[in-house]
Amino acid sequence: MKNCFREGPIASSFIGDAIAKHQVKTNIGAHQIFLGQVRKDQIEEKFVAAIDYSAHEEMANKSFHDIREITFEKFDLTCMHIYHSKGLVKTGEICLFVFASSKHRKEAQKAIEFLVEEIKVKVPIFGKEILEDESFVWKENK
Amino acid sequence: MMVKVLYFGMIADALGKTEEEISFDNSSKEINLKSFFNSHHKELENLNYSVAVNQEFKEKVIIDDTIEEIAILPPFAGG
Repeated sequence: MKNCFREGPIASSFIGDAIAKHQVKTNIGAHQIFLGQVRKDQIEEKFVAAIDYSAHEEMANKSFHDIREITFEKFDLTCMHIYHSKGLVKTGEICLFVFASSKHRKEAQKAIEFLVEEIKVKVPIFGKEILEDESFVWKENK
Repeated sequence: MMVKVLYFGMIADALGKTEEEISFDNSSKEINLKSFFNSHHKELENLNYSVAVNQEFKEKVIIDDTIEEIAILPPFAGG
């Protein structure tokens, strides 16, 4: 089972390298990327400073795997990558990187929309929003 | 029989532990997982969670020796 988790934030250099690696795959005509960024939400009087992500990692990786399989069945993709942070990610840093590539743009666009929604609902990842005074609130996807 | 139960996120916080072994009656009767856990840990009654048996979401289950783990999962926050 592929491990989709990365410790801490996903660096922009990692995203750049992922794009560069696809230059040899010349049957691709379109890449679609979604990046999730930790937002500085205000909770009552305090602002979010970071999110500490935890997960049932084995189940989450299986779940990512299943979502990949379903997405490949539904859309005509050349390749697809999913990376999610675990541990501490500060506001403004990237916590989710999904990358789908196809011959033509529509398939990759639709695939990413589907993928991100599936991830939000089905993958057992938990987020503790750490506030500026080090108190915390558990986050919940809407 | 004893079954390994895993707790995550706010549930682990509320119970003050991330895992434990719980004893179940070894009968062929189907149990409602939420009723079982809500009465086993009163703290869970007012919390929102789902249950996964062997990493698959389940509401009811027959406890037998195919069960390797039960996970109590609070609301998801990935993405």
